[in-house]
Amino acid sequence: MTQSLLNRGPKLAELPGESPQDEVDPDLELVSSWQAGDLDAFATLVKRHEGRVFRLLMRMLGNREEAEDVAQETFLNLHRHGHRFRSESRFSTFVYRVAVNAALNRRRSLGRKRARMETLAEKQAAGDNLPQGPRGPEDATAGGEVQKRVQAAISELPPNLRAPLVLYDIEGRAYAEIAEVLGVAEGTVKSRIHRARSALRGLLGDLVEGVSPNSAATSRETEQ
Amino acid sequence: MTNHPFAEDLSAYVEGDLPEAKRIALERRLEADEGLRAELESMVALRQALRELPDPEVPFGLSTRVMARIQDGEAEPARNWFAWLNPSKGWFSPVATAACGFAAAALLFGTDLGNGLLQPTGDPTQIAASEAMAPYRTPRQQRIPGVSNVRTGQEPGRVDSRLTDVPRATQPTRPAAKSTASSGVAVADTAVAAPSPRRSQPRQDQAAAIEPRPAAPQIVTARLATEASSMGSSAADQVAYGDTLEFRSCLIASPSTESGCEETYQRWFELARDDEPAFQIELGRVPAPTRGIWLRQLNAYAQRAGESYQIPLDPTTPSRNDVPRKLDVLNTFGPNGR
Repeated sequence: MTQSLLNRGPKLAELPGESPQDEVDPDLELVSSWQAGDLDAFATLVKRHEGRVFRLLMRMLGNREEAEDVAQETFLNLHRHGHRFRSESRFSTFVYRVAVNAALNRRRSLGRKRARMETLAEKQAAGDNLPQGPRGPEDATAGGEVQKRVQAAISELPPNLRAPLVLYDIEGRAYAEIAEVLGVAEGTVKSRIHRARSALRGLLGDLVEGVSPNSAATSRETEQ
Repeated sequence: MTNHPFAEDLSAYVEGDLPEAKRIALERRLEADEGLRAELESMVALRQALRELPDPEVPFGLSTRVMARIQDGEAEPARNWFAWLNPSKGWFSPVATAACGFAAAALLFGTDLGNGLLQPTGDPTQIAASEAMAPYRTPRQQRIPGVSNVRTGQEPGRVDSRLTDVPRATQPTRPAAKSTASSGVAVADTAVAAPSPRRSQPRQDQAAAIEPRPAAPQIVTARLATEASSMGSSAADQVAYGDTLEFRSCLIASPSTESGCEETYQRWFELARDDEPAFQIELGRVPAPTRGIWLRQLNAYAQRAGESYQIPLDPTTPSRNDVPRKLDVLNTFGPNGR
């Protein structure tokens, strides 16, 4: 049984975006051209990484407009400080680092009041004024409610737990890369991911208690 | 929901990170522990829910807007001012080393900032050379322009009585001292010379406590003799370093008509007329722009004294680096500045 549980969904290594450390950085040539002054090379890099950056920021900030704004800032910062990239790590790691820092800076600048208001608005948008209240998985899965609740719960996590969770569980980055992005030890990353998951499970309550949404949906279909 | 004691192991188990022995042990426990199984299911469910989150659609034209802002100059690459310090740059060694060396040399020898940091020690020739440069340095203490603080071998802290009448730059009407000494006349800076009745006793004590640089006039005289003999003269003993300083004090601190300096002018005039090599050596000590002042002063004296001999205003003198800053001071306080 346990093995069947684990076999659900793709393994992390199979997820798109998971890249072995020993591979040659596919961005290296473009980065060299850009650092030599080729703006077209930078445009290509932006195009190549905008999806990942926007997804990450969307998860981190929970607001589309905010995420786009910070995504633009991320690439502008990248262009300003591109000379600091020394090809000691992958360029995508460097981009993630800049993006995470930009997101954390934005969160700080928002201030507590605005952050609270946003959280409230997000909860209302998710139709969940009582985030820990009981809700049946059948109701939750309907109309993408599960995703909204999960996103709302992620937004409630403290930033230091949210970033590693998003990078690992959603973006599928390796522990070592996340450690490099966040500037902490690999063990710290694992510990934070574990704490983030525990906090999420507390926030999501019955949605993940003992049975996964998919398995619930599957069982419902089977019953029908 | 409660966190199971094995929750962390479960997390590693889910990710496939648990070592073999621990994994087998955990699986045995899972078979027996229903609560632990529920915990595992919860973790897997959460992981699944996270992975199944739909990817948000990237805003249309995001990269275009970014590039437009860059082309508008919103993100000019920041200048890396310290890039040259980066050892990975090939030019680190020559440029950084040269810059550091130049800065250190300027600090210690080329500017007044380093004055006194390195005192010459050991070789008497070096000491003499260092002291010979003293009149052309601007020390930290304010001095009477053109006057050095070379001493005459007295006890440290004592002021030569002959110096007490040397006028200060701020008291130009006071007559300069007559000096008959042919060697080792010291002219002090404001810290040790010309005690004023307006000064309070503590300030005098404090001034006495500030010890000027040790001097070696005898050694300088010896060097002058060596230089003079190398130029074919045997009259080096007619002039000494202290004489030069006294002469300068007469030129600068008192008007040219001041009778107190007549004897000094006379001695120098004779030196110029009778022993040109020695005179040229002394003249070589003076920055070139100031030499004209000296020579005009001497010629003015000669005219007053009825001498028919005139010193050429541009005599051949040993080359020496000029010190424009010193000249500025002289022009401010010297005869032209009055």
